[in-house]
Amino acid sequence: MADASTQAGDVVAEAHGGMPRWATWGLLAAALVVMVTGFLAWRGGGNADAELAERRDSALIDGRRLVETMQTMDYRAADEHLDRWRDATAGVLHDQLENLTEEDRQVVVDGKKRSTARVVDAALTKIGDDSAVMLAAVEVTTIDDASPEAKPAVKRNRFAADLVLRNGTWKLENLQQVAVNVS
Amino acid sequence: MTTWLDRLRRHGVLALAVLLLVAGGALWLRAHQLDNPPALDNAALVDTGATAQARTELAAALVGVFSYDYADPSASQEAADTFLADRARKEYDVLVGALLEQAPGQKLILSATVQDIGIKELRDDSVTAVAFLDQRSEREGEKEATVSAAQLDVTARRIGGAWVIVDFEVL
Repeated sequence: MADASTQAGDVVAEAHGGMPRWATWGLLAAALVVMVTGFLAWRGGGNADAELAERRDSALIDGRRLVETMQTMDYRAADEHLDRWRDATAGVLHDQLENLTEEDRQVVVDGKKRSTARVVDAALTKIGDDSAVMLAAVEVTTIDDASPEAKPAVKRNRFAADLVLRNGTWKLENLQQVAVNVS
Repeated sequence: MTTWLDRLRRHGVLALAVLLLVAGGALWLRAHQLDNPPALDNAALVDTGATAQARTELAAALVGVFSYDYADPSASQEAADTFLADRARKEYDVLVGALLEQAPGQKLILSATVQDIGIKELRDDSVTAVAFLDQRSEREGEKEATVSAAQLDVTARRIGGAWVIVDFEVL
């Protein structure tokens, strides 16, 4: 019984080379279809929502960093920090920083203040093709070297930041403190 | 000899088919990843309708919960019952308890306004947001009202179709 089935199997295997000819070619045709449709799906991959979601996440990550940059200063390295400010900004804000005078710079140096900022929390309220608006709760710690006995001052501020996408990089176009609305 | 060649050709065709299957499968997988990046799990600002609704509901909840009128304390209680649950409810009870204990009968009026609110993460049944809240307080005997600004991190869950704040943190 076992012999008979083995023999029959051998015969079939020999006659069809392990697999019927039509099956081999059928498999190839099916594989070709998978390949071609896969290629088309890949080429058409990504959609508006997916791109928007990724743009939103990059705006938030970069926006937090930009706000921290703009709230950070060290009078001992004023030029370096002002360069970072210029690099972080675009539009009118950037132009203003480009046009700082020597006196403006001197004010920073003479102020003898060192500040570091940390964005405690942030969220976007708007996102477009190349712009976004971000809300940020910021903690700024300032050390005043003009009065060395003073303790570091910690302030909690809230900001609204306008972000723009320039050559694939998010920049800060405006940074406004959100004041209390006394009505 | 013919069988040998035939087999080789047949194996070649099979190998090619397998290769195409693997490559095609990889392309399909990549296409799927492109269509569904992890970022898309978060619907904030992508689903504009749901985002706007969450903003409106959360703002209304915060205004109701953080406003108080000594003449009608039940309104704040109702707001708390409606819009708060879990940890948020406990924190609120502690905050309000302390506030009222500090100065009973001082005719306190708190009016909260939401300056702005941004949705961080929006999923089917949970949302996190950053809210800028102003709170104006008036007490009898004080000439001028004081206005204080607060930044809140808010977490809400969808309970029975509405957003209910389950946790908040003053930043």
